[in-house]
Amino acid sequence: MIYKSYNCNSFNVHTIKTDKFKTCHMEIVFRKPIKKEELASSVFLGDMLSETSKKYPQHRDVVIALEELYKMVFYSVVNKTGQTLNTSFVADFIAPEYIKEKDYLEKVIKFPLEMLLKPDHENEEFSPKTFNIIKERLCKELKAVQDNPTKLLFIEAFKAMDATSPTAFSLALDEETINKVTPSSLYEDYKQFFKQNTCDIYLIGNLNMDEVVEMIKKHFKLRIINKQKNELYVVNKSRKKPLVKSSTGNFIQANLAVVANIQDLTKKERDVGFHLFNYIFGSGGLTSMLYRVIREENQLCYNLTSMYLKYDNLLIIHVALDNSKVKKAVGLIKKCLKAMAHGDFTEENLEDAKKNLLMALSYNLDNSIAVLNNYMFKILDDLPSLEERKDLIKNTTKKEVQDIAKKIKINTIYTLEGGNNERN
Amino acid sequence: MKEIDLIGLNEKIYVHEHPSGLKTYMWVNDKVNSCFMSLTALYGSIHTEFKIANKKYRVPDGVAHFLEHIKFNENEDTTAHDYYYKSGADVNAFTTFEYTSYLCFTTTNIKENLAHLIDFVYNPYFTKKIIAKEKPIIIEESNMVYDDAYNNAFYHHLNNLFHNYKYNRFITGTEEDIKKITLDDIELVYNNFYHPHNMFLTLTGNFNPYEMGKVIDEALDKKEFPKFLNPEIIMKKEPKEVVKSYEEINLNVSDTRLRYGIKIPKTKFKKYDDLTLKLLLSIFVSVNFGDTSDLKQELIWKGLATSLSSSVEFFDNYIVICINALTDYPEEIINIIKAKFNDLDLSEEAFNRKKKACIASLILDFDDVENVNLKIQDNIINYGGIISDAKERYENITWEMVRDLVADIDFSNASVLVVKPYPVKENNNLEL
Repeated sequence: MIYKSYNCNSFNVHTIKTDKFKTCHMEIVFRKPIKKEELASSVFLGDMLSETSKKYPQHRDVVIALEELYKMVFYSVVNKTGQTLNTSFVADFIAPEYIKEKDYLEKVIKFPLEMLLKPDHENEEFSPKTFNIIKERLCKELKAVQDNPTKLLFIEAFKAMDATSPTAFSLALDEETINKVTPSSLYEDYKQFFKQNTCDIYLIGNLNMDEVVEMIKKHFKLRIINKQKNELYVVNKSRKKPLVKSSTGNFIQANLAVVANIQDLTKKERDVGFHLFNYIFGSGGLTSMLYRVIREENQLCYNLTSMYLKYDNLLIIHVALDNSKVKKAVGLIKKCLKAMAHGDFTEENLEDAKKNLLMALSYNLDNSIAVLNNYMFKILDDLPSLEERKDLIKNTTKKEVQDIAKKIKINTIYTLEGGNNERN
Repeated sequence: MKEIDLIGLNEKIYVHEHPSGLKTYMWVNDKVNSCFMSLTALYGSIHTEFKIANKKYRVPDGVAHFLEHIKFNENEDTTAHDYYYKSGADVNAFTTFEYTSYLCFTTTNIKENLAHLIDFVYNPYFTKKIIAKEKPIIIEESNMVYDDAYNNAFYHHLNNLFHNYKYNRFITGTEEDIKKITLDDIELVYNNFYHPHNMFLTLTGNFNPYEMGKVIDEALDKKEFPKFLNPEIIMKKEPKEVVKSYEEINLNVSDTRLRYGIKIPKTKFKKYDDLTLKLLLSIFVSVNFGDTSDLKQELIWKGLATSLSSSVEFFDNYIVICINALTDYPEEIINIIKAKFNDLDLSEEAFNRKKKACIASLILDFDDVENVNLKIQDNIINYGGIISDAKERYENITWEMVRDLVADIDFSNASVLVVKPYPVKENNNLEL
């Protein structure tokens, strides 16, 4: 794989040339510091710029154009990396070597850029029709959060932890915020969009990258240079004593979240050590400590999740189970955390976790999006390359993993109580 | 070793057959690091009534899924998870209506991991203690499925479409079903359906197929298999009519949704193979109800629906075309869909564009080892073998074929399910 970066003044292009895949993957990523009051317009804008354009005023026109480009895929994603808000536009297309059509490559490169630069607007406002369709969809999505116990639990748990933290800024917008956005205010935000955000374009595939970068420059004429450095990591305040809170859900099962702060990790601990800790503790499937204790020894649940939120410096454990089992599960989670800090796991457990993480890293090399993501975070956060991380994993000791466990402190225990589905 | 060329796709499938009857399908990609393996039993959740040597048997719903769970136990203290954890591989399994598949994904020790996959799946270690221990875990899983309103709506709709088919039952079974399952049920199913003659293996990734063939032979040679008794699944005859043409239910959803399903007997279309039939119907549905259709655009622009999606699924001898809508105006949508089926878009231009896109997706299918593995499984299960000329079949379809096909469908044989939220109740938040 050949890695190359191009500085195009108002944006950078980062490329990986490889013949490993039949498809090419391109991401145009805009980043800015997250502000609660700007979330609504960012979410709206992501949808607006991928829904229609001046050339394609209805969404069906967009889909027809994509089908004509051999089922090219184009969509937007708005998400958070710690305290940075990302608005990404993603395009997947078949590598040109499989397509005989003249100018195919230029057409697929031009497509997303034109969607971004030529939106459907008139008289300083976005098309009210498209705006209302998106608004209706966002309102329905907001309501649908109530149907999903895991999403609802995470939103409520983070809000309980600290509603002012960027971690708690939910992209499932509330209705009041949605209603504040208008077709003209959104167009005003669009005009500021390229000024407020940095822009990076990432591309992987079997392409002549010099030629592709020239095409991008030709079709993506931004005249704004924004070189701001976006901070990634959120520092979430810890508590002396965990907050215990619950609310009533409309589900049969209770959903329990244990949110814990992770304090003062070193770079190596962040990049590899915590993944090893979590594999042994809870993310490593049926053989992890949490699964063994909660599911296999006590049959309290079917599924549990232990997620490392690297850029929020948090660990969140989620268990879906019967109401009557919640208290016991909380006790067992605390016990397992203590056991990890006491070093109650074997060298063999650590070696097994290493093997599994090494396998996962090798697999990353077989997936174009994973390869691109690794490159993205190498640039953003100085994430060591896959090969460097493999070496770091291999030389991590039991003591290092044990020390990581000592840096974890429970912040919030939140239960969305069950037993309330109408079936009962 | 047989080699099957996939015409026009520049891909090849190797087929190995062991004397026990187990066939292995292999696709090699020497550009990747990984290998994806699946060992599949043609036994799924709907196969609860069967005949063996003229004797009829019936097992509780959920047996296939229960067996999948406890199959990982290798002895009293060890599970296959323990082995693969040490080996640095991922192991998992899933159960569908029609089959059960055991998966292993790895980038190292490919031969050892393959041998162990064969070893643990063909190791019948079941005890009453294991069954008792697993029941509360599977009951929690079943409750999780029940907590998903969309899943619930899916099963409920199938219940309104089929009189006798068992597609309306949860794959996990209900709590009551799970409690009924015994060691005898598990052994009966395992002994008769987990036989190499009723299973197949699929390997995709970076390996030498001849070396894999040898590993498979050695692993299977160590096993003894009884004579295959060829159990016969009893599928009750399914009437052509739907069970309920209309029903409204309340579920834990935030907004009203509807499912408009048309039940079509497959026997009407004997001149087409299943692959071609599915392709023709999918294109027809996509042209009329998909993202590029006038209808969807109109419903969304008028604010009558927030989303509209469609699917074409085969259920044994029937096909179900299903249109799903998220809408505050279910009655209007039902009338509009009904009217659309009487005034279909049969333009050739849209058909040709969709056809081109489908051919492109055949190329894309071969970009990921897991996806290729699933595609091969799909070929074996749904079409009885590898379809070597899929691209040609795609290229040979015509809009006339769609027109003829559609003329033979009775669109009035429909079942509509409207799913509404429960009436609003007060939500009392408690702070402890």
